[in-house]
Amino acid sequence: MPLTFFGGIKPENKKYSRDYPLRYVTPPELVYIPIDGYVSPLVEAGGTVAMGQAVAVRDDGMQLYSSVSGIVKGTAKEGEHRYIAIENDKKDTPFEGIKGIKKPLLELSADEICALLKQYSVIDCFDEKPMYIKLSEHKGNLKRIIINCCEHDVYTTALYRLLLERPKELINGAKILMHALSIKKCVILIEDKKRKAIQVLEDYVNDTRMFVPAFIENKYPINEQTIISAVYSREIPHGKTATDLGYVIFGAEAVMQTFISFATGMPQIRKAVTVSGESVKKPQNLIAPIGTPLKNLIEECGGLVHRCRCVVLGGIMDGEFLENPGGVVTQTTRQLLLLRWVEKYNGTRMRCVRCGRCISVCPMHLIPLDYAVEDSLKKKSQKPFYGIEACIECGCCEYICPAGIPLLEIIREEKGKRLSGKKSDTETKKPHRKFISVKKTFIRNRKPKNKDDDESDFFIPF
Amino acid sequence: MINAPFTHTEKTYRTIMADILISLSPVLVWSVFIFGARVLTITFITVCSCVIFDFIARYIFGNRDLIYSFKQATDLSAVVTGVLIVFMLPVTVPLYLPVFAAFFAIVIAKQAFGGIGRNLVNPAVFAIAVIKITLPSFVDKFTMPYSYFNAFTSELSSSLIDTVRVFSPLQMLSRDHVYEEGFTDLFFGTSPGNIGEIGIVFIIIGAIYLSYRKIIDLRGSAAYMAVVFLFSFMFPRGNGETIYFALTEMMSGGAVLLSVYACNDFTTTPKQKTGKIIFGAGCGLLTILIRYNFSHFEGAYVAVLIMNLFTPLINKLTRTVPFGMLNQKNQA
Repeated sequence: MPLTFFGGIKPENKKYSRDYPLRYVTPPELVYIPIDGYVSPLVEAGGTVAMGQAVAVRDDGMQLYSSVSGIVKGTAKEGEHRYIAIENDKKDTPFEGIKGIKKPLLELSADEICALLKQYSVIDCFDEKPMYIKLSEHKGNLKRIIINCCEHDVYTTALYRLLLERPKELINGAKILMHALSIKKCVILIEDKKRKAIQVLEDYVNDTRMFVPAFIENKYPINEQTIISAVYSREIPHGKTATDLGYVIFGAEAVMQTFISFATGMPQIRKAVTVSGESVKKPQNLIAPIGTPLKNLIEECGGLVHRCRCVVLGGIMDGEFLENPGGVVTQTTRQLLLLRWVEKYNGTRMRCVRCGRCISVCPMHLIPLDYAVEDSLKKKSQKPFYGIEACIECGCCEYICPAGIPLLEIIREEKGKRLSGKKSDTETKKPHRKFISVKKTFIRNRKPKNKDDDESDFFIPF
Repeated sequence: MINAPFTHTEKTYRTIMADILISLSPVLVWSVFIFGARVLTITFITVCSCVIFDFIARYIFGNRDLIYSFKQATDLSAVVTGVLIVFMLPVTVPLYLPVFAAFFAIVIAKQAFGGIGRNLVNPAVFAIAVIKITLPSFVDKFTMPYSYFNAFTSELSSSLIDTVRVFSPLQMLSRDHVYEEGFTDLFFGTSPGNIGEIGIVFIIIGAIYLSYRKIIDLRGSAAYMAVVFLFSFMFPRGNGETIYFALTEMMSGGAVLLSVYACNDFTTTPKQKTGKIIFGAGCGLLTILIRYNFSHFEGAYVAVLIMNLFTPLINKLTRTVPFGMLNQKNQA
């Protein structure tokens, strides 16, 4: 029986890109390296740059590296984001002075490993923190390391292919981290359904006292709190993290990257991205250098097939909606989705009938139907938004509501009001009809009835 | 500008109500087999009057917008209410009576309180309780199985009924007499009674189907049945063996039908799991008390109505603590 936690949803299985092995993207012409949080660029326009050379520096000393070799064209700006544009000469000359660590593992001390991870600037895409911060912020009472090999979302398959093709790097990277934190056991968390990956890992692990498998059920919000509640049946107190209880959680890709960086000396310059969806010709898993524009990824997969109405960066439940994909691949990109339609609620919006499905699905034991009460009744109840600080905005309640009530909108509005300190506005006169049929935006909310209507022309929104 | 999440489940109110109707259909088919085609005319009249009253009431009490009221009235909640009203009436009821029942259920108990989601008591149970208390002589004539009446006569004359009239198990219990020979008739559906309350095995089939589709939770129903059985076993009455008394008490009088469909109603029952168990146990206790002290005839219906008013208190008492806030709750 796999381990479970309370709540969560199981959307339909849409792993279109599961059977395609990982592929390297054809080298892009222009690479834009994002330097949003970084203070000062270290190269000037016109200079040459090699692969692995430092390009920008941050407040706390972490550096950002170039992922290609070529000529720097200058800084670019798009909206609020700043980039350094580099023209690729496709020779991939490495920076001189880059070589792997030749010492055996047991001779390195914990501080040296931390300093090396800071130098290689490895960022974990599980919770978007740098690895050296994770290794150095613990209070000394760590018991276990947990390596999370579960997919984040319904469409991603990049982690699955990485596990099938590179198990040696995962195990060796885990050994480096265990030596740095002086922990003797490591838990590998994997979903129950990935039989092939479990088989491959079992063949690789020699010492079963060091690595313990944990099988978890394939449900949607898998993050820090639900992992600890599933594996150890404990609840993390509100306001604290898992390291206060004694457990550190790493994402599988960052662990593999530590081993690659230690072995070759190259910092983190590539990222595995899944491009999937119904509108793309060949959904695949790609390895792209950091700074690749997203349009190159779409062309790599064969371009668009259907009339694509929605481009989503990130998960389907908690991602960002892009109006024109002008972004780039960063160190925390996981997937890019090209959806044919948005499967929003398909009917007239109704009133809450208090059926209680949102309660049975919330992983944080909240009561979302109390938030959906209309304004005149809210003033009468004593604590209308009880416990809203514990909400992780996973979107399970809005997914399952049979009335189509926009619960996440209401929750985000209330959280925004609490953060900015304003009192709620009671004087605005809202119109009498609130839940009339769904507004028609440029995104169609229903599936089309005839298929001919849909494939008439190739409509590319960007 | 659209925000996450970008996908939605396909279940709406209409699919949920359609599932409930599918689970009610075995009982309907069996009762047509036992009682004849008159069941179908009663059902047709009740459902039509429910839907028409629903549409008119939404227009008058709501937005005064014709198309919006029409779109809202096509979710099948009025049809489910209508079918439940039919199941709690006998087959000899005159054809003008379900119209009054529909009026009490839809207009008074549901729409005047604010519509769906804001009613205080279960509409079908409220209508049936009103009729059984104020006009008992219309609804207490039960007949032998396989005696078919004419489907279209509006009121059956007493001489026609008296040739085939028998007493139902519930009326025998009120006279302290227990069936011992025809005991399995109650379970398989060939004993006299209301339209939907014979055939316990078909109700159980419907309940298993609903629980498989994750629409109802069977804890409340199990608690109701367990409490009724336990108390009637501990305090038996009448002649005969105790076990037969307890089982007959449990299976007659509409307790099984109400335990599946009224203890799991969306608006009027508690939402949390322990709340549902408390609701079911309270209903069972009240059923036994009303049947012993007042009258066997309306026991289950009035018990459900009383427990519906306890729902806000049970919701407040069994509220769950959010994730990770146990220690803060103890300190505050």
